[in-house]
Amino acid sequence: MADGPLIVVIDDSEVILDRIKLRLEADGYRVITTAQTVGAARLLRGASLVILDWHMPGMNGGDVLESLRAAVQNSQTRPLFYLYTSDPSVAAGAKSTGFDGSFVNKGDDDSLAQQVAAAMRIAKLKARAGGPSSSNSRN
Amino acid sequence: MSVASRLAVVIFALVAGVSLVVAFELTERERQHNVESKERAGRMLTELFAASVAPALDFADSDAVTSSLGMLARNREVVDAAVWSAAGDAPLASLRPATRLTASDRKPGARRALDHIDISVPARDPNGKTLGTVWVRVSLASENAAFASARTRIFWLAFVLSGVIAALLVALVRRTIISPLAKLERAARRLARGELVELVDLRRDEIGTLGHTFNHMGRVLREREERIVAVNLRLQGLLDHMRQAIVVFDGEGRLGSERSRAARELCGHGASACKNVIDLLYPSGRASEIEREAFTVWLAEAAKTPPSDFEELLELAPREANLTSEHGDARLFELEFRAAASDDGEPRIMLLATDVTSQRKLERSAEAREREHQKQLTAMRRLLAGGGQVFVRFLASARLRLRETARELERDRALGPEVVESVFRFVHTLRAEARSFDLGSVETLALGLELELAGARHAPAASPLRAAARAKLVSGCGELERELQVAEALFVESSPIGRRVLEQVTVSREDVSELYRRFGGRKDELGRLVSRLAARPFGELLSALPDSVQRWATKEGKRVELSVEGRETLVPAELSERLGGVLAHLLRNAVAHGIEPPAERREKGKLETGRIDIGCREVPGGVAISLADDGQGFDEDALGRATADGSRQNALEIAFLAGVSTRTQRDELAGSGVGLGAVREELQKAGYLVRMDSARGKGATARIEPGEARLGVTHG
Repeated sequence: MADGPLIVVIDDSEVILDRIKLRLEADGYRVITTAQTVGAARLLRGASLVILDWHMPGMNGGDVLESLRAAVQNSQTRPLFYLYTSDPSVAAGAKSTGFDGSFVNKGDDDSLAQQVAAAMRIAKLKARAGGPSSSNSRN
Repeated sequence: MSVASRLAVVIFALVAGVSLVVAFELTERERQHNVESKERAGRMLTELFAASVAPALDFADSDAVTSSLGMLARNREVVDAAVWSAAGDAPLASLRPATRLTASDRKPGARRALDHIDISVPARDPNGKTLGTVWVRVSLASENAAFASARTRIFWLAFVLSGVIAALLVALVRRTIISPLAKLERAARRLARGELVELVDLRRDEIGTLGHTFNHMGRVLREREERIVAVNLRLQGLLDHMRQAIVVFDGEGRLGSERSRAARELCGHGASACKNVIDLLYPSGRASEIEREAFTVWLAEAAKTPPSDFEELLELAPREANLTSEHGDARLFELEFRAAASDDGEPRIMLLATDVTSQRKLERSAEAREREHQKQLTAMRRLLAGGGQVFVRFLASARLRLRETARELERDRALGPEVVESVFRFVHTLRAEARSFDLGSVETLALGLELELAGARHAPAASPLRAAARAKLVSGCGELERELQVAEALFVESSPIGRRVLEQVTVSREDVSELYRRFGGRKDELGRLVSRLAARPFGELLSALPDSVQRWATKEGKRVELSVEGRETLVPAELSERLGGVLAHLLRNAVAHGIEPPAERREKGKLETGRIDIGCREVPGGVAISLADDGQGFDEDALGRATADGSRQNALEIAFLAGVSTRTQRDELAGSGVGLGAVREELQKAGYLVRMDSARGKGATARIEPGEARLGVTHG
């Protein structure tokens, strides 16, 4: 069983969630997936990374991000929030929307795995350099 | 200004200066000599004039004095003259009254000026009485003119001479020093550019010696360069033989010139991509920004990390990257970074990129095949559990119909309507049956043939369409036959009793047991047949144990792999009734006492997962069964202490005594001390013996074999 960092994935497609879970678990991450935005905040405990879809039913990724951020603002550690999209223009505006970054090439699971690893490395490198980091303590 | 020009100017100035100084000094001395001669001549003239005017002065005859002055004035060298009487202050007579004369002019002697000499002489009577004074001014104009002319000649002569000397010296210096030095300088420049040069026609002087030294230096450099080139070629050869793309870069990502052949090929698609490792690994616009950013941050951190801490940083380096080969196809590379030697104190990092595209594809393909295999095995197990006999009948029926179809196709090469209908019904049925047994590949093949036949149904007789359909049917039947073989192999593999599953018929176990009770003891043909009917495949007796072993191991915190050989071996009825419990006892013992926990096995240098091998084979008088584990073996000392008298004799036999256990705490698995004793009793009832072999630290083996009584039965 995987014992790596915990990743929470929020997407309205069960198929995409299954594929992401399968791929990331193969890399040793613990993965929790949910297609429900309501109540997703309770899944964030102990999470290192949250991957969000932009087009969610009834709300966009920015709204979901706002509600999740509010839920973890008093936490000692808070996860990284990354947008996962195939739309380059949406990805380009991710940081201005409040995301820590964005993952592109949606649908390419191997590419996602590499990008997730890169995001984890950035967090660790920034923590190592003593610079500002929004990540919590990584495994 | 060149050295030659400067030398020429200096030589010219020096020669001209020295010539002028010497010439001027000589002419000045000559002039001085001439002036002195002129002064002596002037003094004689003045004294003669004084003697001539002395009588006139004695008589105060001024006219006579004036007349004498007139005669004196005829001499061209005299420019002025005056005569004083002894009594008067003013001149008694003079040639040029306008000349202002003073008392000092009356003093006897000569006084030189630039252009004349003034000479004063007293005029005396024969008795020596001073009668007056005579003053004469003698001109130096002719001497000065001669002096000036000589100087001009000397100046020009010195100028010309200096020029000639300077030219000669410069020519000499140019030929002997400057030209050879310039040649040496040009050669040094070529050498500095990396050209290999050698000076020829060297003179036998200091410059020539310098040239020889230069040639020697060039040869030494050439030899050294050849050695360096050879070493570099060897290193490059080594690099090129590495299958990795190897590059070296600095703290800012700038790539060095060291590259392996694979790296050069990787760079082939664009030189711009090979200036910086960031652009090489993560080209802007093609790689994701997050990966590029992660590597950029890592590189910045690496640049300021001392070599001693570099290993720690490697954990945060990217492991893989997608790169585009020179042919434009996407390749997956495994990345490895190492601190490289640096000769200037700047951090340098070596990247070894290994193309793992094919390897990953193979791994994924193998994983996919394994998943498919497991899926099919699961389907087969479900099939076995739900009625394997039906599947066996399906296989036999499908093969029979396939052979019939092949014969029909062979007979009717025109693929007539009757054959089309017959084969269509067969493949249609086969497809439905395959679907019911979860045989996806058979179903797909059957569907393909069905569609082919559907098209051929309406095609005219002897048309190309029918011929093509027939060819596809022939090859399709072959493929179906192979797929059915694969399905049968999987069915056998998933069966606990191996190929015996294909021979089984549905018979009530109770009926067989009843038959065995009634006739099993007979020694005639009926007894042997009934005994054989009641015998059960070894795998069937074990079928529940693999799961149990895993459960027991998990409970003990251990890892165990169970391997079974001889699943198809038929176990006689009298043993098969007891063997399930016996094997369960032995397996529990092996898990509880034999196999060590993973950490302990690791310390002993064993694989963390323990292994238990069970085998069964036919032997005279029945079957021989072995159960071997690679655990710690029996603790013979502990077994010895467990006996009443502490004997260590035949310690392994002690393990079969009732009440003996080496386990200090009793639990679900072991520790009661009744296990092995009960095992021996059970086996003895079936006419079998059990014994243990053990090697401390290496494992233990339980062997079950027919006893003497059974051997006697067989041979008797």
